Amino acid sequence: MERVIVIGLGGIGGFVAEPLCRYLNYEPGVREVAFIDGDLYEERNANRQNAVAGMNKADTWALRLSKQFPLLKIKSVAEFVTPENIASFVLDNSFVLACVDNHATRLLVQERCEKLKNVVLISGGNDYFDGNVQVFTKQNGRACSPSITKHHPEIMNPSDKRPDEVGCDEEVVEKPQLLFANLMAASLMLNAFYNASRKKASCSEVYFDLRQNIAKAVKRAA
Amino acid sequence: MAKLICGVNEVTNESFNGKSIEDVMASAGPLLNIPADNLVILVNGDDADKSHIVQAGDEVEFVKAAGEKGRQASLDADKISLLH
Repeated sequence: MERVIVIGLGGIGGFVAEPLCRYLNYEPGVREVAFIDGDLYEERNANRQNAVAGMNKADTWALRLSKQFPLLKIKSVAEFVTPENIASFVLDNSFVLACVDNHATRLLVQERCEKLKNVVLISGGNDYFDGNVQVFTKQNGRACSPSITKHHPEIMNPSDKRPDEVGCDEEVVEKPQLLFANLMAASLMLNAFYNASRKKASCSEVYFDLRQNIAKAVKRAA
Repeated sequence: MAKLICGVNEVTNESFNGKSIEDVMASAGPLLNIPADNLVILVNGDDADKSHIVQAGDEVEFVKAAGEKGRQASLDADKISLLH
């Protein structure tokens, strides 16, 4: 693999970015990282995210981590992924970490990854107390695990919209999120990344629940 | 004994043998926090419907929806029994 692409630098992505880059900077292997997010920090993010209101999320992390980890080539894309631009950002021979909060973007990323020859897609999400991480792998054009849509009709037929589709006059309903659920989703995504990068056998889905303080892996056929 | 799974929750019980999935959902659904909508059921990894009769050794998974930004349903469902 040649690069790691992180899509979404919000609640989960913000916890993925720093340890991911620290690991890559001190381990031999991938040195190229791309952060993609068209969103700006807002005051209301301060309970879960460390940044300055008004700054773009991808730019913020790229600037911060480029100084911290000079061996890495960190690129920032201050745009949301869309059907028009995704082919130029999500490239073959990549680990793709989808830290997004809507099923419509997950579907778009999955469809793009299905067209690639070698890719590992790791998608994480959380509700208030619980969540999941899914892994889709293609090697030499062959799918080694089920797509993230296969057993998930909510992703295959999303009822939500990508952020680029939400109009200025549409009210975005904010739902409460728990910092620790973001952190656990991020941690499980990084575990999946580690296993994939070391070519270790991995599960296709992991569920977690903070109330029970457990995570459970599920392996399914491609 | 058959095993029922939903997210992190699982329960194994021989009393499920010979019952339809619809019936075992009625008894174990609240404990496992089985979702009501868009339910995908897998028996030993294959798609199944609620009329499937559970056999000894079956692993029945009720696929939990992917996380979606603090969805309210998760808050409302804060009444899980510890099954482990």
